[in-house]
Amino acid sequence: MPINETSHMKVSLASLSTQSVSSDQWIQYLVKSLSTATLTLALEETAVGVNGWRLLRAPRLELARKFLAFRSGPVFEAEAGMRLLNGKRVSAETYLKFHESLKVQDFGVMAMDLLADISVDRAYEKRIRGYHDHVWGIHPTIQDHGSDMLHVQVRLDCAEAFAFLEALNATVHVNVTPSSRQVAPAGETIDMFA
Amino acid sequence: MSTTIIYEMKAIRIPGAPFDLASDLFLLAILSGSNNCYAGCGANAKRARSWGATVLGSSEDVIAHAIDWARHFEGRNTVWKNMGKTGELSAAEWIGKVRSTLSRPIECPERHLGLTSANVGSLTLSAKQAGDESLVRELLIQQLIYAREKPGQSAWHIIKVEGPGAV
Repeated sequence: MPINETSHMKVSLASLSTQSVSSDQWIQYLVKSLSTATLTLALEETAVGVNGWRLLRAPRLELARKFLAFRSGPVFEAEAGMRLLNGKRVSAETYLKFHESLKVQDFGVMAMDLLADISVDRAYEKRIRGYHDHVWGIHPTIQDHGSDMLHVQVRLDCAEAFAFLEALNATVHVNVTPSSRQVAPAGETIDMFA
Repeated sequence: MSTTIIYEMKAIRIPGAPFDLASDLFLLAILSGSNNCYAGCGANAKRARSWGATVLGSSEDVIAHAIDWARHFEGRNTVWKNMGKTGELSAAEWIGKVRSTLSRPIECPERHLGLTSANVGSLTLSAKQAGDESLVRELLIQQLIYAREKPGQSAWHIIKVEGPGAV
């Protein structure tokens, strides 16, 4: 049963890149580099109904499910007919070009919350609290089951949260949920959870 | 950090029947080299490049590899023909080039599979390892086994490809 992408949203993280979060030069670099980063989300449906929104592409994050991968990920799924674009089967090239052509909107208009779910090697435990002299201002949820890996969840709503993920050097799974924030209308995708 | 430059590629179509396969196989041969590895010296120095047979499988397998490989073009650590702006391909452009190459393959006749060195178009296929007298058929089977055991990985070490343009 193919997945059908029926609506899309591409958001720029540029507005976050001007936030001043730390005097640490590396964190400053990570935050500044958000100026060119975008996130691409799609509303996925199958024959049995709407699956919900999913983050498909986030170039600066190591997503657990890569956009471009061998026999997996959205681009291969499109090529193999397992993923449709607005009901149509398309080649990998057409799928990629469609995603490239999406209009970029500001992160602030996104009517969704992004919750990053990561397993962090205990070797990086100190970095969950801070990086060198910088103490993170965000508040991740940490679950410690006594294994080699710690389970960390953090809401991606500010520059520091994105820098935090990069500092942890971990593979990320991002859950997308309807936003609890008030957002400005942003075209066709604004009423997706109505 | 080095960048891989891909100068040329050819697809070789191999009949599937000798391998008990319903569809034909495609061997993707690539002429490539590193941007910072030179052959010769002084004014005669030229970027070194050689042919390799990276991928063997159905046309779908080859495209699946191309999709994975496209990440390297997006990351700018692989370029097409040159280090300039025109060498920077988008993921879609790269996959399109591979698909176009697959659409005009060089045919490898079945009789060539029983040779230790087979001329296919302007390319010659033989064992990568010196002294290995394996038949082309046996090398292809080795590469199919490698592809099954290590899905998605390029195999540079099994089949030697010689052809024009190598430096």
